[in-house]
Amino acid sequence: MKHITIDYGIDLGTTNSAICRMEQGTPVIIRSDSGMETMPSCVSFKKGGNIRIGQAAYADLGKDKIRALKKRSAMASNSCIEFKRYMGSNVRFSNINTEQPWSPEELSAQVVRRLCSFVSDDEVKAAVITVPAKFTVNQKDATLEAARLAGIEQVELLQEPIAASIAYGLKAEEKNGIWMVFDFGGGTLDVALVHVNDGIMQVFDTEGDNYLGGKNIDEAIVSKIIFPQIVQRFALDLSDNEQHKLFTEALKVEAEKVKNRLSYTESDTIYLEAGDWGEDEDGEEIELEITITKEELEDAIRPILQKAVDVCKTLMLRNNIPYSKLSHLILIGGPTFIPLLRKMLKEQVTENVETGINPMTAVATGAAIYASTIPIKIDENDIEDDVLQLSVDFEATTVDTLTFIPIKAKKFTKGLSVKMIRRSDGMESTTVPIGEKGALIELELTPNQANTFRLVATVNNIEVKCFPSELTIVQGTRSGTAILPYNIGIEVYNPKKNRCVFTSFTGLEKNRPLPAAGTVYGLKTLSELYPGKEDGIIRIAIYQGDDSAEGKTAALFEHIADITISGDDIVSYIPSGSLINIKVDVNKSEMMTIAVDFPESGQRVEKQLDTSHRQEIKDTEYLKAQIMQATMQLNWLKGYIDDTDEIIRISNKIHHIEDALNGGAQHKQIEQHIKEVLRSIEEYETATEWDRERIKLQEAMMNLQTTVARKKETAASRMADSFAAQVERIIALKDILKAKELCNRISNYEYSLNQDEIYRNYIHWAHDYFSSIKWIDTETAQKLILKAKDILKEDPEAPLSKTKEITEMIAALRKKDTDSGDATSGEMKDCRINVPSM
Amino acid sequence: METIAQNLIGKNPYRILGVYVGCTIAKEFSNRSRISAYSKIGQTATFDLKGDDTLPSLMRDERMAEEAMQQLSLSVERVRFSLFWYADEKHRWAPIINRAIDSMLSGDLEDALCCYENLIQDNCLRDDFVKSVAHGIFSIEKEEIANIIADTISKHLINCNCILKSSSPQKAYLLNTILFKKRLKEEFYQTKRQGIKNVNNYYELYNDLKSITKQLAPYINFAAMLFGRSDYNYKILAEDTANLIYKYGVNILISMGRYINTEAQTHFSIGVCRSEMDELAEFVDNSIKNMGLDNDSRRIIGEAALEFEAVYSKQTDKAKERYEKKKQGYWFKEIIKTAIWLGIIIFIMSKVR
Repeated sequence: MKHITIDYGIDLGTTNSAICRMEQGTPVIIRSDSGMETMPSCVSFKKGGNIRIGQAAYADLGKDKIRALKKRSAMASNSCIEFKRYMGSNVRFSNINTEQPWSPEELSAQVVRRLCSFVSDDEVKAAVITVPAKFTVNQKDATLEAARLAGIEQVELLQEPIAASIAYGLKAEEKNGIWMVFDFGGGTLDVALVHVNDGIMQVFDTEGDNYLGGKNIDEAIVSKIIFPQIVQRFALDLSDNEQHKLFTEALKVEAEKVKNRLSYTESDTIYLEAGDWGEDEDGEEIELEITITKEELEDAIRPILQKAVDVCKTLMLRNNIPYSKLSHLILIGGPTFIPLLRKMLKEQVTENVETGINPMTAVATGAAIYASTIPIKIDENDIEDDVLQLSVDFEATTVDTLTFIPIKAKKFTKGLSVKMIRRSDGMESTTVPIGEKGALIELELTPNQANTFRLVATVNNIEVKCFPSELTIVQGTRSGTAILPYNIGIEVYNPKKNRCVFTSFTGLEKNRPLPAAGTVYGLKTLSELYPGKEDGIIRIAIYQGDDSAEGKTAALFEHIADITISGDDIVSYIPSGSLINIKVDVNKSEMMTIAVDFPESGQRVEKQLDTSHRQEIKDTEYLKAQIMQATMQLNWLKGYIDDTDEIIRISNKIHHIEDALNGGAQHKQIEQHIKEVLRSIEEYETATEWDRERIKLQEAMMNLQTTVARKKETAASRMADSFAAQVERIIALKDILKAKELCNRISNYEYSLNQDEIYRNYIHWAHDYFSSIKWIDTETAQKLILKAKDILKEDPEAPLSKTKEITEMIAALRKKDTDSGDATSGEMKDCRINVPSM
Repeated sequence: METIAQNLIGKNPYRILGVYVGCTIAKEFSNRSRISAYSKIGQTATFDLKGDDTLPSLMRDERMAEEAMQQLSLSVERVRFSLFWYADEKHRWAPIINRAIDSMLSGDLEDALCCYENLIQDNCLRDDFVKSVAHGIFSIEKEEIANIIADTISKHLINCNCILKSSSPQKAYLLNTILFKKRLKEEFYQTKRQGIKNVNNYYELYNDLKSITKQLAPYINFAAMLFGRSDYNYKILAEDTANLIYKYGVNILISMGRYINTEAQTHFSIGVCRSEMDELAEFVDNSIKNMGLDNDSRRIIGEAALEFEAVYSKQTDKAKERYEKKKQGYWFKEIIKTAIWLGIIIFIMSKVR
């Protein structure tokens, strides 16, 4: 089968996967060997190297988990599930039957390869694969790698909710309006807002949670319903984390079954059969019948479902769209079958919940429709010699009823003419002679249906075989396109904040349609580069951040990759402080190419961003240290400002993270939550900066006023009055920069007023504590101090003119004591002399 | 203004796509496809649009069309570009936008700003405009849209002379306020910084002070007209100018002091310099008086005023002292000279006798 567009869509899910193909403008789900529309994303390894994938592997899962429980070792479980949750990380899966550890992308590749094997009449060389909207660039890279390992040569990625909306768009009768796609999968939740106008779909915002899915529901059933009953009945010691995890994994299989059954019945029973679950601490064999009512189930899973519903609310609120404006809420994913979830969505979001689309196959369907809009890379060797190769450019989905198709011969052929004939009614276009530059064919489309045309090429009125010989255009809808789910930016050093902050690329803001290009102009280099020398480098760190990322510490966001430019990349010297302009091109799958320009020397360096590194999963100690850091930062803020609601909120969040870490939550998820907390603290720190500066300013002013009152000098009191007026003004305008500057001026002025006294006191102090002070030259110091004391003996109120020189000479003779900290090290700071506290 | 016409209006993505603001989204996609199709066979799609006779012509190609679509992909960007291209007459807000575009093309920014101000101050009209161009999925506050207009215009202006010339800036109060805060103020401080020179010659310094005071005056006047003299926006500008004048005055006085201290100066030149110190003090006083600062502002500039007064008094005292000293020396020299001459005359006379 020869394609001119990709045509295959694959939904690579956490628990289930599916494949769909476009056939003459119609998406067709390809059934698995067991006749199902979806296939479990499960891989099991048998003795002797045999690998089972899909339904065959999933059928053994229950027994497999029980075996691992009995053998008290995770290695005894031969089945791998939920590996999608670890895509892009360095986690490896291994068991007693695997020779070497398997990466998540290798396991995913097995699933993709198996799905492709269900296509009996074609070889899948190109496909669109779906990914969660909130997948990071590294996770997407891992997905591309999985596809490549599965033998797919051309791969495009598409976000799952966008795919679902495309599938719904093709089917929906009433198209115009605002849709919400609620894609609740096995491991992730994605919500997207889609605007449809005149049949044109545009995704305008997405939100999601990479760690919320059906599996969390199963865990809740185990921990809240099943475990308490087992523990009540049997003497079980679950303090061993490993054993607890194995028990949970085994029970999750049962939980999933009961969850599915309770979608249709009022109560159900789990039977833990004797012999399967071992014995308790007292040697009693575990055998139990647990009856679960729908009500119990709903109580257990409601908090998780509420979390999912809250994501919808966040999205609506962020876009300032009232719930009444939602015309359709499209449900996608297995967990959306849960009646309670549907009820909650109807009550809290909209009544317009759509159930007319298959939640299990919609994503693959949408991916296939999208695939039919992307031209396939054609290997010219695949085309027979006697076939005339044409270059035909067209949009596979359109809302126009009149469309222009540019046609060109790959090799110019004299006397070539082309016409197109619609298959359904035989309608013919005009026959157009194809010149060297090509020609346009004008086509009238039948509204609201797939229009399949046969291409008829003639050379000097003799019909010849051509490729493509057929094309399909779907009129009435225009499918949405992939969008950027995050802002893309770089780390830039901000001298005012003294830290590296996130700086967005103009053109790569969240929700921009892909492909897209972004630029950051006018930056300056911090290091110099010599041609051919590798020691000096310029590192450009690329990050992805949310809407509020601009200006915040870059390290608190997701790091994508670094680009380094060294002397090997340039031809002439680039001094430090040179102008640097950066341009990033992002393709439809979010892979990036960077062009760095040095306009002053006219040099350009182009590099492909290497996103292939896998993120290390941080260990518990690291995460605990991060939690400690967040707590310390929060405590520092508390020192300035009393407990506010925000501080309490952040503090509670830190406690929740600690609990989640102790409860065995995924470390990547914990790491992300810690970063969120650190960002909140930074936000709060920025928001309260003014209050801190105001307090400092007012304190400086009070000190000055005290000094002025003591001095009783007219000029000083006029000066203080001017400062007081400036303080009032700055407080009225809340100008942080001016407050800092004025605070310095006030304290400098106050110092200048007190300088006579400070110098005299210094002489007294040096004399009184002479023996305990460390001197560079004790003898000279002693002589100078005695001389200075004589000056003060003559005139106890000696002015600065008499004491300045000698005091500064004494101060210069003091050894700097670096260990003792504030007590002695600060006395010459900023060219000031201060009496240290002893 | 030329860059507004050339880039902002001439290269507006709506114009590139061959549509008017407020047309259907389907029309935008349709025209994009048409441009792309024509481009692929080496031809250029053309559209008959308003402004074609005054604006530079466009050779539309696939890349331009793609970029234009990309520029219009985010709602906030759609709103931005919609404000700077002709609108479809069917919308009730279209006449305002169209007049603003015509005014900008004819170089009348003041009128364009008034048009935009009318659009953003009328809640119904503004909401209708935003709803039409962003297809109802975006809402924006009055202040935000004003910021968009001001930022976009500001980005395309080389300098603010055309804004400063405005005879009644309060007609577009919100927009001018934003332009003042974001652009004029910045330009004011830039002018202030550029005016400060590091020269020793006090004549040059004095001339610079006069010149910079003159350059800053239009900004202060604009702020006075827009906000009134009791507003912080005016007060801060005036106070900063006063502080600058005082500080510059201090530098000039110190430079004059150095001049006076030079041995070569006669008491006549010291006297001239001394009177110039008074003239400078008068200039400083008058310039600050003209700003009409209230007591609050006078307290704020007190710090700089005190410094000026102190330096003035020190330098004038020094000048007086030097003048007297030089004068005494002069008369002493003159007497000696006269005595010598007299002695010579007496000597000659005695010889003659």
